[in-house]
Amino acid sequence: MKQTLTNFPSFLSPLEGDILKMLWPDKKLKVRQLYEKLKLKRKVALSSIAVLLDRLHEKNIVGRTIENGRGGVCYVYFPKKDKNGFEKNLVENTVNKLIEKFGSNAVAYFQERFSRK
Amino acid sequence: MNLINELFINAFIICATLSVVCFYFWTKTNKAFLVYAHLAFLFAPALILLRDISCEMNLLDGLIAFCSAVISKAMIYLIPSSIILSFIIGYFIIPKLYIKGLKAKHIKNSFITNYSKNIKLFAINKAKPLAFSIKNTIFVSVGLFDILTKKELNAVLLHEIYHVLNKSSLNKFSTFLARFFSPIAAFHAKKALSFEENKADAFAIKIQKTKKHLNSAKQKIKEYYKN
Repeated sequence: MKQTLTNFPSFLSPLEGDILKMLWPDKKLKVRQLYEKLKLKRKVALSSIAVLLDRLHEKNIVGRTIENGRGGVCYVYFPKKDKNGFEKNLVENTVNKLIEKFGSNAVAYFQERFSRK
Repeated sequence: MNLINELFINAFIICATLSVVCFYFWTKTNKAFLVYAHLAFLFAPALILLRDISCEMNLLDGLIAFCSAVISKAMIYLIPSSIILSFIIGYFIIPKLYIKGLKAKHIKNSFITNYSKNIKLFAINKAKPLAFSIKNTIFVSVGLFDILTKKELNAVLLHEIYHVLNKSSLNKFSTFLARFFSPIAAFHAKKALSFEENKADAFAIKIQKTKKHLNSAKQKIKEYYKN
């Protein structure tokens, strides 16, 4: 199985990964629509999906708009980047944080690692 | 002098008794005007006493000499004016500023207009499930619309409609004010606030003829915050 960052639990939880897979590359879905699709795959609560979507929104991974519906309003979520764009962004942020924290040690490691390849 | 003292003592006893009576009926009925009557009778004896205090400024006694008459006279105006000012700022000005700050979107909802055309519904752009009312306006977060079914949402709206129709904003604000100014009321404040909430729940259950929808709405909200 190809290792993708969405399979790495330290970057995203399994449910966050599943949510993003439903949204990629450019779908726009409401909370309830995501819930209806995900409950076929695993045991999940509507409120859990709502919480995770809000967290993904805070991390700037998904965007949302407000639309009219069901006697009121609702959020419609969409991915801000496609899968490749998301993974590229994640790698960039991770590497930048490593360099910030470990400085020359991190740079030396990357140089050694790339020269080995 | 003795007659004046006797009159003052009688006035003090009457005011203290009326203050307790108003407090008692407030605990039973939760009516806002009883809070203010309780506060008025509570402070009346002190204000009467302060009005009669006088002394002369004596600069010979030291560098700094305080005249208790000045302080006591100031207190006569300070206590009632701080209560009135707190009411004006807390009940009229702050809610207006708060509503403006929320940048909420007005929603037309026929369920609410069936109860009263004066009640307005606004949606707040937040994912956390929230519902509250200020005066005749109900605020519900977009997140709440997302997670509740229509009947659950109606249960929450009925709860808030009760608060609007029974002027709970005024009752809650008055309770808060009383808690700040009256040590007796401070003990009852928590009970007074939960009294309003229980009545609002009972109203929703009565209209929907079941507690199923209200309970399941509360459960979903609880689960959200647990996550």
